[in-house]
Amino acid sequence: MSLKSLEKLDPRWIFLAFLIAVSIPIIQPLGLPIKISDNTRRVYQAVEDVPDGGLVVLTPDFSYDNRGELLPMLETIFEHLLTKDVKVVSVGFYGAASPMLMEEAMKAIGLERYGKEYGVDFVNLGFIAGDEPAITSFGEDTQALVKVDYYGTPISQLSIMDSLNNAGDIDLEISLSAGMNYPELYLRQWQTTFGIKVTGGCVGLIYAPLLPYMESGQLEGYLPSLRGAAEYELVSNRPGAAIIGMDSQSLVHIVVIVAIIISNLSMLAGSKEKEAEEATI
Amino acid sequence: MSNFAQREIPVIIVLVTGLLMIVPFFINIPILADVSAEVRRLIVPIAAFALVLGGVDVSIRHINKVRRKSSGYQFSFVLLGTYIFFLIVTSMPGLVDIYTTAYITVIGRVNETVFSLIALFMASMAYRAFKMRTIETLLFGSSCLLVLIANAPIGEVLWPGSVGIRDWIMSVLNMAGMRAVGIGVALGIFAYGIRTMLGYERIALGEVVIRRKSRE
Repeated sequence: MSLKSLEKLDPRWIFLAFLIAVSIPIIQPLGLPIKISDNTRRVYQAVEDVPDGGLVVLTPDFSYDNRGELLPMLETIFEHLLTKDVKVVSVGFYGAASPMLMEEAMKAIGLERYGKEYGVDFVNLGFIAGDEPAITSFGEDTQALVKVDYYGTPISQLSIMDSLNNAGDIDLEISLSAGMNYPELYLRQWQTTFGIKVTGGCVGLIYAPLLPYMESGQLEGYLPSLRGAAEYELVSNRPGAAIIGMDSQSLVHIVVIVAIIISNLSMLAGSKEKEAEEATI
Repeated sequence: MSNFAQREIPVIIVLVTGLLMIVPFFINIPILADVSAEVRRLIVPIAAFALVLGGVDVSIRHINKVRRKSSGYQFSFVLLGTYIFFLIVTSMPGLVDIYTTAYITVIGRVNETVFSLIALFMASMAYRAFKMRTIETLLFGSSCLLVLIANAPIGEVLWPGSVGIRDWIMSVLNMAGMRAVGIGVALGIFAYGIRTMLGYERIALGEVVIRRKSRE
């Protein structure tokens, strides 16, 4: 097989290489070292800095398509919050799946493990339709907008909601986002008006556009993708699904890099052959 | 419907609503701020109503498709069945668990599967399309490769220097570009908002639909 013939390689070979790369670390974990970035340390510190009795709003702004990338992040941050003496209010503005994913994380970790009680230390308010105007209304007058939680319990019966009247009561907003503009919405509507701290994490795709907000200090760091979740698991000493996933990601990156190199080498071989043919003529 | 009702009234509504949002942000007039907050609260029921409206519209279209037995009507039948199922289980309080289970086990898993497949196509696309034929594609491709290497833990193990190069690309080249794009987009949105409020930009008001209907 010549290098040039690889130009027309059947893509199924790449799919097979992909499958092997994903499978190997699941069978035999590689345990590659993961370096914790300053950015992750900033997110961790923002959570640590929430004062005792403080209020954190956790918004899982993603759906099932990004579950693999963002659920480990949601679980590790949520667990970290449960170890602290803070109240956590979860609300979704992204779609109907947000409260289900929050519920999944809640069941996986277990409130009772940390001596927390639903309605007192944590509440899942469900999905609120309306996008940015809904975020604005939530920030301006939460009690006027939200009447019941995800399970239909009136908020008057949930003591945690007594401490949340508007975004000014929030000590930290944590957005786990799959949508391009979601962190910007909280910066625009809650931070600009009430001066609250905003942090969180996102899918890899939208990380680069958020870097200017991190450098300006508007975002208290932001976790990028599964890598960010793995770093957070390490820094908070709670190893989980993200660290396991990083080995697979490493091998898949290698497959993609090798594929790009081979494709360019075959292109070069092809063009050299063509030049030689033209010189002969 | 008269031209005024079809073209001018929507523009007037947009102008008044837009001013109600903008003015209280800059000038402190308590009554205006209260009205503005009330209008913003109305967004949630309006959005919920829009979802109902969308549901009714989708139903009518697909009922017609099934009645006429036009191409792919079987899919419309499945859609209507699913729609009715979810309508029933979400309307009755005792059936919330069935809704959640159905959502997670069907929609959730389909979402995850389809999204996972993208990774395979991206890998195949990288092989076929990432050909560095010109200086521009060489620069683009090399920076992609460097970031890709440094982002995976194995990259740091094989070549520790890649992290420094990745950080420089992200914090200098990417940051400068993203700032320019961000400011450009913000100015564009501002200009688009002003044009819409003044009635110069009518796409948001369904102008395309109106034109197409008038042509028909």
